[in-house]
This record gives sequence, structure tokens and C-alpha cells, in this order.
Amino acid sequence: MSLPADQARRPVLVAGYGLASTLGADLESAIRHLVTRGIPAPQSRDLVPGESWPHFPLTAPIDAGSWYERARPLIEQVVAQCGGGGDRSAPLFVASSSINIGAVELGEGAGGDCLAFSERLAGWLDWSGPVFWINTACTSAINALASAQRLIEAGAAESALVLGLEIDNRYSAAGFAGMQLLSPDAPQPLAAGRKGLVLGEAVAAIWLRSGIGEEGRPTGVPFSCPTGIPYGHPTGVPFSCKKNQPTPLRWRLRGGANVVDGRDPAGASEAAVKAMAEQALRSAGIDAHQIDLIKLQAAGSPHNDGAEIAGLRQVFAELPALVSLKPLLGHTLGAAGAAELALLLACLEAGTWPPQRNDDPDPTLATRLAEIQPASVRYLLAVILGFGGGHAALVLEDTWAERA
Amino acid sequence: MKVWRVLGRGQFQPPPADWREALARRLGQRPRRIGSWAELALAGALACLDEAGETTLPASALLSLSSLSGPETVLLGSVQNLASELPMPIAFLQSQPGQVLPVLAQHLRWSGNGRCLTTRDPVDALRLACLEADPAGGLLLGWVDEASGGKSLWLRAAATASAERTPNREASGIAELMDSPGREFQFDRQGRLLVA
Repeated sequence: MSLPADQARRPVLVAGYGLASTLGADLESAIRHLVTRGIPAPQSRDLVPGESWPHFPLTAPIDAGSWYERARPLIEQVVAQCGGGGDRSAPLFVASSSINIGAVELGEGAGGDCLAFSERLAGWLDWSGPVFWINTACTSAINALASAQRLIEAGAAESALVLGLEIDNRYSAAGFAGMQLLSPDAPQPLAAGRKGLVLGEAVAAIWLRSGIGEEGRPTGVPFSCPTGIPYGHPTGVPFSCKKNQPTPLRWRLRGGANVVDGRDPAGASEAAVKAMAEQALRSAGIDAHQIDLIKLQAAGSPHNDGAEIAGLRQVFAELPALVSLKPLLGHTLGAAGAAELALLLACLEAGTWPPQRNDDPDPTLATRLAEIQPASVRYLLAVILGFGGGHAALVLEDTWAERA
Repeated sequence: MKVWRVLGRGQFQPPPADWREALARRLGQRPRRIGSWAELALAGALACLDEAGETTLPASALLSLSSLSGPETVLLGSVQNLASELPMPIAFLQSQPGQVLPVLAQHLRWSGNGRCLTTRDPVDALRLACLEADPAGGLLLGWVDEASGGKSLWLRAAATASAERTPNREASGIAELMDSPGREFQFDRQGRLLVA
């Protein structure tokens, strides 16, 4: 990684993204699922004899072979979805709270070197760049994106690939079940009757790159979207993501924040949410009133949902549109920041608002999830609150919004 | 390029035979429910701040902990028991590396940007931290593993505007930053670690 003399902040843009989740093997399938079938129902999974809990598995599991033989094509195809991740000598961030624990459960993996799986994964991708494994539980992927952003801003890298992984294992859910944090029903964010989390599996990839080309000019038109799927633009201006057809990069990472609060190792803190939001806005150089949409953590936790809303209310005089993706993906733990961002950006680009439920709103929160897409989303705040006192957020800008 | 000065080091490799007892004496009691890996991390971090002359870590400091094996003993034991029962809550918490962060936050009286981030080459973690850290608040970096007798190595550094000598010799690795107090270092344009 090279460091230029001038470490002024360079723009960092989302060059591509991909997702495999309970909604489907890719984002096209996910969007189609949301349009045709709405909110998915969780499935029941046996964790230990006599203990079954709802969860959201990957819908395209590969049944044959070892855990690694199943994980590899999954990861490869998600990276392909996002455009391949660019320069393979760039930094690779692996965000996961479980990594290969599923293999260990099956006796196919051994402990001792937790970085080995991330390096093995890099080998599958022919990745020669430095590998960073981040495990801050639920805030892992958000923190990975923030670190990748900083590397690129500072000129230490031209691009970076962030992978969020939570793949087939019982241990994560069993642990949360043992701590009585799981819901026996579907997740109900911000609902009066919310009972806890429903975990999910996902593999997500977000490719970041500098918005400044080698000549020092904004790149603007550098990449072709890999999915080959045309999406309708909300303004009616069509754009297609066909291979080899350059498309302007759209989403810019403006800033972010991460606040670890030691007072409750399993819960969110209202004060830390406030600090996180304020720092994220400050790093992005915008004011609270400029945020058009907040992607909440809102996992259906009896305590944390309330702490999140209370903390945000201290920063936002009036809360903007709110959305939760937990009912659609489950809580995908370390992958959540990347998985939810990938799905949200795809939904916004497709003009397909992720379905939200307000069947049983908690009157003490005095707010509801947005059931229709906001008229305009220029700035969005993506929040993830984590096990271990983590409170992390990113601010993204739709650079196309000015054209609308 | 920013020049950084090492303010303090914690060097348990291996930790002293009575390190757990010493930690308990320092805290006034044995740390409760945090597991031996987190205790090892805490002991090294406190020793590092001691050398830096700090009793608290500034809120603007970046905290980054690297571990190749994490709380492996607790994790593997807990996974083995999964054949018959759910993990006990304390065992599950202790098996999660991220749980060390609130422990450090409590005892370092700190709330800020912290993470468990592991790289094969420790210099990569340091390089990233130097890019992300607030120059005044600085950084606190740790490398903690229980294997092979245990290791809890910590580095506390902050940017300095008045380097005694310009760091211009490529270091062989992190160890050179740990070998004497007050070491100054920087990263060059190619990302190499230079020391004075």
C-alpha cells in the first residue's frame, strides 16, 4: 500500500456489491422475492436436541461436500456479483463473527489460527493483497467498510473488497438462544410485542474504489455492473448494468463512526447511539436534517430497539424515514453491515422498497417504519449495533440524487 | 507523513507466572466472568498504559486488538458441548473476541473506536491504525494469544510534531518498536515502517 504525501481525503465510491441470503442466491432473486412474495417467513432449525429456533438460512445452500466445499462457490459467486472486487492485490477485509465455526462443529476444521480461514478464502479468490479479519460481532462489516474507506481516502489503496460472512453453523444461534436473546417468532422491529432476534445467514461483498483516477481526475465512469440486470431508475432515467457498459459510480461513502461502550456487553446504550450518530454526521460533513433515510439496526430486541430510537431522537429533531432489514434477512451478525447495505442499495436502485411491517407499533417509541420509499434519498445513515457494546454507522450519499 | 512516538509498551511474552494474581491485586478483585484470554489482554493493556503514564485511555484514541487464536480454549470447549446442550451464557460471551472490548473500555475508562482486527503481519494492523487514528488521541494496539505460554503485547503511540530524528531506516518489524521506550516511527509512501 502506498502513502501519498498529500493525505487529503479522496472520495470513496461503491464500485459493486453482491449478496446471497435467505432471499436468494443474488440480488436479482432477492428483489424478485420481495416483489412477488414479500417478507419471508423464517424456518425452524434444530440447534441442540430439544431446542429449535427460527432462523433465515441461505436459500441456495449447496448440499454436497464438506463445509469448505460448500462455502467456496458461495463466496466466489457473490464476489463475481459485485464485479470481481477489482485489483486482487488490494486489501481484502473479511468481516465475520463466526468464520469457519461451522466446519469446526462438523469436525472438518480445527482451531488455533483464526486468520487461516480468511487466508484460505483469499486463496480461492486468487487474492494476493493483505487480508484483514475483523470480528466485532454484529458491527464487523460496518467497521470493515469504514477501515477500507479510510485506506482508500488516504491513498494507501486504490480499492478494497469487503466480504461479510455468516455461513451455516449452529453455534452462533445456540449461543444467542442460551442467552435468551432469540425470538420464538418472526422478528418484529419496533413492535410492542417484539421478543428478540432471529438470526440469518448471508454472504455479502462490497467493492470500494477511489473516485480519483490515475490522472487525478474524478473517474466517474469506470466500471460495468456485473449482474447484467437492468433496473429502473426512480427518476425514470433508465440505466443498465450490462457487462462492458460503463456506468457511473453512484454511492459514495461519506463517513462513519464506531463507538464501543463498556457498560453493557450485550446491549445498546442510548448515549453511545447518540455519540455514534453525531460522530458519523461530523465525519461526513453534513447535518442531521440532511439525512433522508436511516437504516436501523432494529432487530426486534426488547431493549436495543428502544435504546436505538431514543439515542437517535437526541440527534434528529425529527426522525427521517426509517427502515429495518432484519425481517427480510434475519440478523446476519458480522455480515449484517454489508448484507443490509447491499440489499438496501439494490432496492433503492430498483425502485423496490423493502416491505416493512407496522402491525403492532410500540407506542413508547412513537415512530413507525417507512412503508413507502422516500421521495428522494440523497444521504442515508446505516446503523448497526453490536454484541460487545459496539455502535457503528456509515453515511452514504447517492451522487445521482442531484440529477433527479 | 505523520511521525509517531511510542508512549508505552506492554510486553508479556510470556506473562509472569503470577500475572493473574497481580491483575487481581491491581483491580482489587479477580475480574469476573471475562475469561482468561480477556484477562491476559487486560493485563497487558494496563501495563502499557502504566509505562505511558496514563490511568485512562483518551476517548479519541483508537483501540485495536489482534489475535490469531482468540479465546480458543473456551470456544472449542463450548462447541464440543453443542452436541447435547446450549452454551452457557458466560461461556458463549467469553468465546466471542469482541467481548474483550467492553472489558477494556471499563477498565481503561474509555469509550471510543475499538475493534478486533487481525492480520498475519502485525505491521499491517499498525499501518491501518496509523491511518485511522486521531493524531492527538493516538492509538493502543495489542496482540494477544494464549498459545505457547501466552502473549500480550501492547503499543501505545501518538503522533508527534517534534520528532527528535526523522525516522528513515526500515524496521525489521513491530519488535523494533517494542525494544526501547520513546521509539519514533512513520510509514513511508510505499507503506514501509521506518524508525529513527
